[in-house]
Amino acid sequence: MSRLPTGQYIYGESPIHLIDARAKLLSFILLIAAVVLASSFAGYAAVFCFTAALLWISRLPLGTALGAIRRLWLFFFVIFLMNAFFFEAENPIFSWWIFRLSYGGIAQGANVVLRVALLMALSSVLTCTTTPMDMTSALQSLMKPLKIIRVPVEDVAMIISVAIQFIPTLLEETDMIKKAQTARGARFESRSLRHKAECVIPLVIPIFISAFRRADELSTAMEARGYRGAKNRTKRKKEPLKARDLAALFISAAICAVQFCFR
Amino acid sequence: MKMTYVKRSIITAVCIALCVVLPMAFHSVKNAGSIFAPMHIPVLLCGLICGAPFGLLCGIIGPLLSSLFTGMPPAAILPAMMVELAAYGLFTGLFMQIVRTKAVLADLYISLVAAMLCGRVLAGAAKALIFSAGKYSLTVWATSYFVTSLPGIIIQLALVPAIVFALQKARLIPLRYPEAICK
Amino acid sequence: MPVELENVSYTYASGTPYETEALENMSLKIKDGEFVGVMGHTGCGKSTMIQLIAGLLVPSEGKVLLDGNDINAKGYDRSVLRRNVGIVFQYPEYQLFETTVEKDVAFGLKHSGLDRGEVSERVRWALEIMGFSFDSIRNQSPLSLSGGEKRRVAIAGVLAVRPKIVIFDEPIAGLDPLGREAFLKLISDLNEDGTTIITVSHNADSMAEYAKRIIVLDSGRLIMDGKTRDVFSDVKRMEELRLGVSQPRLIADMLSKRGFEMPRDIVSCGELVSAIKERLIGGGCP
Repeated sequence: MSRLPTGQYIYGESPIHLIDARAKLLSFILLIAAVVLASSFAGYAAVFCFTAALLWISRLPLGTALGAIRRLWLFFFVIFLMNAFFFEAENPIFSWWIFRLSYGGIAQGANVVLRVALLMALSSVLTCTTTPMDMTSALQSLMKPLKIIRVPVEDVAMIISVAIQFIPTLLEETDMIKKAQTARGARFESRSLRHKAECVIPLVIPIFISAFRRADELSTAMEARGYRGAKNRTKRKKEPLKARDLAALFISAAICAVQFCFR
Repeated sequence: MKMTYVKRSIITAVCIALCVVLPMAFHSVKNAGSIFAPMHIPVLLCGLICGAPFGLLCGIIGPLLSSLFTGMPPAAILPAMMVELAAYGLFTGLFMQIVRTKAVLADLYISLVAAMLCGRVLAGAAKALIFSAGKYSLTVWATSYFVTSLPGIIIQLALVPAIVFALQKARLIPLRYPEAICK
Repeated sequence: MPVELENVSYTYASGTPYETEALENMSLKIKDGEFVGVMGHTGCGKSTMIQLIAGLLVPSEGKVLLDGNDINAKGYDRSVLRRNVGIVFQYPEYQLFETTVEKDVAFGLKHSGLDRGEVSERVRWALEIMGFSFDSIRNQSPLSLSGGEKRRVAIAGVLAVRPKIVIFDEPIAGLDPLGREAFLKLISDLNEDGTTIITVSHNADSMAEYAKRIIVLDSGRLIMDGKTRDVFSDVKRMEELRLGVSQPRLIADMLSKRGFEMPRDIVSCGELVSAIKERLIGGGCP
């Protein structure tokens, strides 16, 4: 049986895990803003220490939580080198053809790499401590202000919930179709690019047909029952934010505000 | 058969779900994911079939949910991908509305190619702004968008119209020019 | 081409918290030309078993042998397996994708090395066996056919390869009684021509009519295996397993209990009718 994939989520009971997903998501946005705005040493230090503290408090296994950063080391290295050598500084330490190594460039490279690494670490903390389900419902409730620019927020929320419900079913069906075509001789395991390309159509067309058939059945059933839009549905009452959620928001806002103080 | 608001919504939901499922299906097929970018297909189709607003939604939510549920794309490239896919969904829908050549295949191809161009330009611009560190980035990303993704572009151009026709034959979406068949 | 499971175990999602054992140390041999019915509850491991035989899953332990060769061994030519073992899943119509029926049925023959004439001959044969007129259906889109026709085209696509072993997963689910009869007749015709049939079904009646051997699985273990009449004669055990036995078997039992002596090996409708007839004529009906 297929179940909903759990993504990056790692089960835990740390204070970070327990913070309400809405507060966590908002804090995350504030912290991202802090990273983007950071321009001074003190500002960077604040964000860096805070991120490290988050990782420690959340008791996540570091290897998994920071795995993405480790896997992308080559990307970081290239970004660093490109900045270091191509930064247009006044007084290069060394220059040859189009390459100009400079202190300004090295600083700029380190700056960019640190920024991206911090963003990745922060998003890791968010996704590792929040289940995808909690996250999507948090997203749905944070979308509400979009009503002002006439986005049909309720309908979007309905579409997202339906999409999530479809994931396990479609995964299972995809698996079956793949097996059926394999038994008929489709060569999914082949190394040749041509064989792989040949496998795409026998797999993708049945998947789409089966998915659209389900969509057709569901929408017909919904219309038959008089569904006209999500506006009038009764909604589950959301729990109010607790003290620790507000504290998380407050601290994140403070880290963000620090960036303005040390510019 | 009529494409009602409810039906468009549910098809969009299914396309979003496919944004999560398809990359997982191709994950085990070696290198296939990076070669033909499976997440693009449901977004392009959603725009073509349901129209611009639904395509836009699919392009924003699809990669987001996929990132949440499967960790792909990683958070670092998620924003740029959302911009790219949102543009695909939006522009396929818009061009499908504007372009009416009386031949379905021509409509599909014009809309697809135009939307793919717009999406890549927008995503390139977004990336250049995000990684605004130097001038190099634009050229690097622009070439990567057109050269390394070329096999993907070709497969998508072949596959998307094929899926549209298959869905029409299975009577799951309405014909674009029903009168042409009657004659 | 005999197929054999040798101490096969299969574990789903091994190494994760969701680890579940679907099949435990199963050994089984199916010889040429057999007609085997596989029975058991949802989750008993029967679909895992057939997927292992078809080489779609790889056992965690043990071997699957086709004609004496381990199909999961390195260097084994999988095209031999694909040519000889066909599998029809529960909703085979979902696997259709081509623009015409002819192309779809020919999909499995793509890598067979047959020339065009032979491929076309095979496709014609498979479609005709499934009750179509080749010339009128060949150019239609498989996607715009009716549900029943789609299913038949999909099965033709599996048969066109002329596999020596065909596996069916709940082939008659969702068919009306007439369709069921026709379909089971078709399977048993194939069997008479020498094809080994392995079919998973909940339907004890149709198993009693057609299968020659019954295998019963329960929570990943093989618990009964024998001739259909032997397995179904253990009415008590089959009821305990909530699988039941065929109606004719039950009727014969009821008649026996009421003093109308019946042989204990009746499973199919025909056997029941002829036994009753014999009793009535032999016993001198008033």
